[in-house]
Amino acid sequence: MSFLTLISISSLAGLVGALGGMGGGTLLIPAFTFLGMDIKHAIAISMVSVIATSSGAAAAYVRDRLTNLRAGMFLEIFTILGAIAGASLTIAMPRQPLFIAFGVILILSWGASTWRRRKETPAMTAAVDRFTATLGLRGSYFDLAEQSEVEYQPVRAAYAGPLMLLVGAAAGLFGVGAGALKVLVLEQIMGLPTKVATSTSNLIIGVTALAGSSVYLAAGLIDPGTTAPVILGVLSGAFLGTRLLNRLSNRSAQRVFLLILLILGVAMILRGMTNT
Amino acid sequence: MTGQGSPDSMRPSSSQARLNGLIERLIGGVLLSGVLLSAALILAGLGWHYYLHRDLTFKYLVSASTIFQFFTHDMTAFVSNPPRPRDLLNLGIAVLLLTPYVRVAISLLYFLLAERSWRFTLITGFVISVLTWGILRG
Repeated sequence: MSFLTLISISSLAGLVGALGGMGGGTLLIPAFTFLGMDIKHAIAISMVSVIATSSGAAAAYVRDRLTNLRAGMFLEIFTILGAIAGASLTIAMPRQPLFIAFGVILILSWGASTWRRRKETPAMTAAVDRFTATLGLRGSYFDLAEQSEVEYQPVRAAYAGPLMLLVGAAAGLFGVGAGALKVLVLEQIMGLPTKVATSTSNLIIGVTALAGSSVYLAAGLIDPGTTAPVILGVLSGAFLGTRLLNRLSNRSAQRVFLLILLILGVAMILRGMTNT
Repeated sequence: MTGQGSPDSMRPSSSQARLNGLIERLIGGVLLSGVLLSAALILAGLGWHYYLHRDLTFKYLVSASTIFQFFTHDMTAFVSNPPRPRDLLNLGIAVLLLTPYVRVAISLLYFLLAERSWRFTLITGFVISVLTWGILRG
């Protein structure tokens, strides 16, 4: 694939991904495979680019004091083990089921995002359990919109952990951040406020992607000549997308992104069922 | 769950809050500078390659199989041979891969030395052990 193709596809994936509140990987992999790249190669390269976009975003979030560092660290135990298992599975797996599984995860992400849009703030119903209390995950952040310090108490860490093992496996398997699934667990299981869930998910993604990347590098799937332009492309696209997002209506950008996600999901499944 | 009316015992002490602010700035700084440094190295490598060959297509495979080897091979190549654009490219990718690793290493020091929380020192220690294993294993 030529330099120009690599950089333009990856900037576009970064841009559209940022508009939809996701990393570039979700769009990058289908786009690259449709242009003839081997799916395992595309997954490996995307996994590295995920480190770039998530770290860039996490840097801003952490400094704005929105991230729960303790909750993130606890959950990383599970996501990195999942990512290593997932990436190892991808290397061993035949390609056809990989296409189908990728399509399914795209449609799941579509579903998760669509469902999440309806429920804005999670209901804090459960009382804090002993295990979560032991971890001392209570936190607070300054809400700019409300101009007040918001305190929160995470719950059900014992359930969130094992679930994150699965989410990490999905991230490693498909070379994506799986941010939508991570936010889902953080919000709906652990009861984190949306802003904290989004920023903590970003922090977890970087380390998870590193664990996955180490497996792909060992398998010889990360070639610098292809990976380097993709890193630049995805980064610049994501940078532009985040700035553009402030000017666009959030909902219309999301709607377009979700439609793309659904179409790509179906296309990947069809491709897996016919031939690679 | 807003801050109004909650008892003071629920809030971290002011020295703890200062410490939290410090570690958050440090981690944010490490993540941002890692990504920027990586992008700058890649850009420099590509620019240099274009200057030499009027072309931006790189086709080569890495001989290393672990991130650690990848990094050390690159550094050795950089100092022993006349430096090539691809060494900068490799270095840019290595810096990116090591950015989250450094972030976890700083967190470990923070939990161990500043917060003195044995639980989180253990948790972070486990995370960094797994990552180190991933970086070193062949």
